[in-house]
Amino acid sequence: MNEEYRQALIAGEQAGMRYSLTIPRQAAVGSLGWHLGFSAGSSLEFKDHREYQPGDDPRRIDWNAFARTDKPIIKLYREEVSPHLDLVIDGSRSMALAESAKAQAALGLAAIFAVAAANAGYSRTAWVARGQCLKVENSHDLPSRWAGLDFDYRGNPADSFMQAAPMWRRQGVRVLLSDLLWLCEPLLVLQHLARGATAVIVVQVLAEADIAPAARGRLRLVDTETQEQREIVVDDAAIKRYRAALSRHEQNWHRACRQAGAVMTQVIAEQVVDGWNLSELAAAEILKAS
Amino acid sequence: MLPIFTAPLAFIALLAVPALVAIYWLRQRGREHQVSSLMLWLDERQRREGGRRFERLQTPLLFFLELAILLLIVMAAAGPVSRAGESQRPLVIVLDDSFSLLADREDGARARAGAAIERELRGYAPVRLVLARETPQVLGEAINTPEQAMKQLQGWQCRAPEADLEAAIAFAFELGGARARVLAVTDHAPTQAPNESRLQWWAFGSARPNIAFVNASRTTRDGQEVCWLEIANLSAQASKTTLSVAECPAQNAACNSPASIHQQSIELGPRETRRVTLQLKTGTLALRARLSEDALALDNEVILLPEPRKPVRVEMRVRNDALRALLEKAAQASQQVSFTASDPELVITDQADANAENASAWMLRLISEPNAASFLGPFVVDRAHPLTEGLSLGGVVWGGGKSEQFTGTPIITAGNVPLLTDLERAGKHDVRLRLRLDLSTLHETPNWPILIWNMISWRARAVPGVRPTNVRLGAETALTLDANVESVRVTPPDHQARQLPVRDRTMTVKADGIGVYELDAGGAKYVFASNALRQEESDLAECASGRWGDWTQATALQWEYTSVAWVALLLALLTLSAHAVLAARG
Repeated sequence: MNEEYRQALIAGEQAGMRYSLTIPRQAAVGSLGWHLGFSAGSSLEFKDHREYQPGDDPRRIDWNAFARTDKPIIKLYREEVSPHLDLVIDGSRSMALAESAKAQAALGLAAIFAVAAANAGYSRTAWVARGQCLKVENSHDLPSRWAGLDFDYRGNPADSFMQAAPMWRRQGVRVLLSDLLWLCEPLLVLQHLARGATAVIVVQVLAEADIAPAARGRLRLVDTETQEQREIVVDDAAIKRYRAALSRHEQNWHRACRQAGAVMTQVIAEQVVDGWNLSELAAAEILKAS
Repeated sequence: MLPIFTAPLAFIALLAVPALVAIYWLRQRGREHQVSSLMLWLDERQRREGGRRFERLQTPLLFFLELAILLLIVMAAAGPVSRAGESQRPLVIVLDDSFSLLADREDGARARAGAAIERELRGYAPVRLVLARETPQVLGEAINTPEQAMKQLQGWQCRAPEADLEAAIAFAFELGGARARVLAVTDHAPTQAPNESRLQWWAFGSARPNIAFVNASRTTRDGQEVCWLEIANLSAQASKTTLSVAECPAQNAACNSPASIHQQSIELGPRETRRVTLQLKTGTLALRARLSEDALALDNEVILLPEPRKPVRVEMRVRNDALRALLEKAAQASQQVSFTASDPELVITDQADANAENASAWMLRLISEPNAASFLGPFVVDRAHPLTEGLSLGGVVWGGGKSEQFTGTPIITAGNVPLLTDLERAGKHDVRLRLRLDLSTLHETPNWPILIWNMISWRARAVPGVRPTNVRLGAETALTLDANVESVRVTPPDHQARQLPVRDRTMTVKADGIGVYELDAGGAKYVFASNALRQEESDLAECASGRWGDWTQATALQWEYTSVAWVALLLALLTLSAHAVLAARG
């Protein structure tokens, strides 16, 4: 990991001191202590009654209700959720797009999420998606001490979630930091990401060059990941179509996130690293000033 | 056929090709630009609205067009020449028409040359045939097919007494034009190998010993008719032959059983020529002399017809004794006169107004005028006139009348004073000689007998008949007619009779065949004989076979090849136009 990345982690760490992680309203909160899960569990907070079914713990039979209804009724309590953050960083090469701040922004955001999660009482694990989800070295430590973070994966990051189930903490909050500029079915990816999770947050980190390419003329476009090349005359019409394609791509992800119960927001890398302004995340109720 | 480049250094310009490739390579390479993913740039549906991918087919097409233009221009600059098609270049064949090619008959040079020409003619067109004789002669029109050529070749008879090949070759080059090739066909080697790259020299002869008649004549000497025959051994070895001389009873020698009058065996040393003289009886008709068979048959036989040499009947009407004596002495010296007083053919007189009784008689008037002067010259002489042949008047004092007005066309004048004139009337000549013996030295010089000789010979030649009656092949003989006849039917030895026109009662016939010619002038028949008497052609010792000259020599490049640079330039222009159209369409 180069020094530039290290400095981004430090900057993110410092910026994250001002925030704590919150769960958006779309996701259920509560439980023992700090956060509660959506499903029934063994916490002390009563959730509901239902008829006894074989296999239920007899100790949870509500005898008073049995007396009133002559039916074995058991009490259901809300499940306790351990507050944990699984931070997944897209390790593909596109995150380190040349002449952009995507890598610095992604690492800074990761540090912010890690510190903000700590501020909110979350434990955390940082992962980097590089064909499979690999735990970032020293990810339980301060972000400035993380190691082994590089953006050099040439494949599709979705494979990291779909080919082998990562060791994510069940009932944890999962944050995906990625530019999402890879070919896949977003809903399928999100289903894998959200499986067993309490909440899923998708932060799309794009460079200004991704949103509004400035280059014009005869260009030999090189895919950062696959190194595939394409000779194209880039003019206003081409930019227009590119932006339309990008918009459709983002809409697909937004739609998939809604279907999967995830929260998605987009940040522009250059704007993030320029003073670490996290207004988009705050507006999305992902972070709040502590 | 691959072109040849006359200026290969122009190919240095091909160094521009890598430059063109570099320009395209650099121009076609767009600026490299890294993007996160290409998937958002792959909008195939709207490619034509703008921002299309470079259509690789279009740019390379322009590149290849420019490359083709460059290559074509370089090729044009290199001066490509293509070998002209064989059939496009005219071929002129010069055929040696001399009779030496008839040696060995069916297996001789003529036959072998004919076969070789037939093979060569396949693939050539057009072809002109030129016969090399004393003067070149075109054998028919231009021919385009071998069949026509072979048909024309039948006219190559080899009957000429000589062949001026150099003149014929020069004529062939003029006839064929600048691109023509000339093939000379003969039976001997060239004196030097052809240095003209458009000329080939083919010889089909072979050195053979040959004994031939090289000279033959028949004349009258001292009233005795004599036949001379010269026989030559034209080889380096001694040889032997048999001479047979026979008399044909018919005038034209057309007899099947001539009567032998002489036969002898002759041994000849190397290159020896021997003369045989035969005394003939008076009235001997046609003679046929033959030698033994050898390589060349044409020169083994001669036909000698009698010369109808009659003396000119001269009437002398001269009263001046001194002058008369001078005239008679000079006339008798010619041995062609007989003095007579009746029916003369020539009247010599010193009377200015004398007339001949005979309507066909010519007059020679020697006019002595009292008003005379001696002229020392210079004398103006009409050298074209028969009377002036051999005259040399330098130092002669000519005394005669000095008036400038005188009858007849002047032949010799002293200034404006005519001294010898001729007046022609209806074929008759009235010659007037102004002469004063006492003032002249003319009669004391050789000019006097020459003048009288010329007068008598002139008159003798005007006597009807053929002179000479025995000619060499290729020579001419003259027929003089007494009456006005428009044409004469001439039957040569090959019996291909033809009508020839007569002008001024005379006509000339060239002996282009070997044998006896018959002339029919309105019922009056005349004959003359033509014999192959040419030692140079009978001499087969120098004959040889071989081929000289090479049509493919580099010096002939300018004629052998035609420039095709225009093709490359035309293609370059067309390609340039296509390039312009494509470039305009973007």
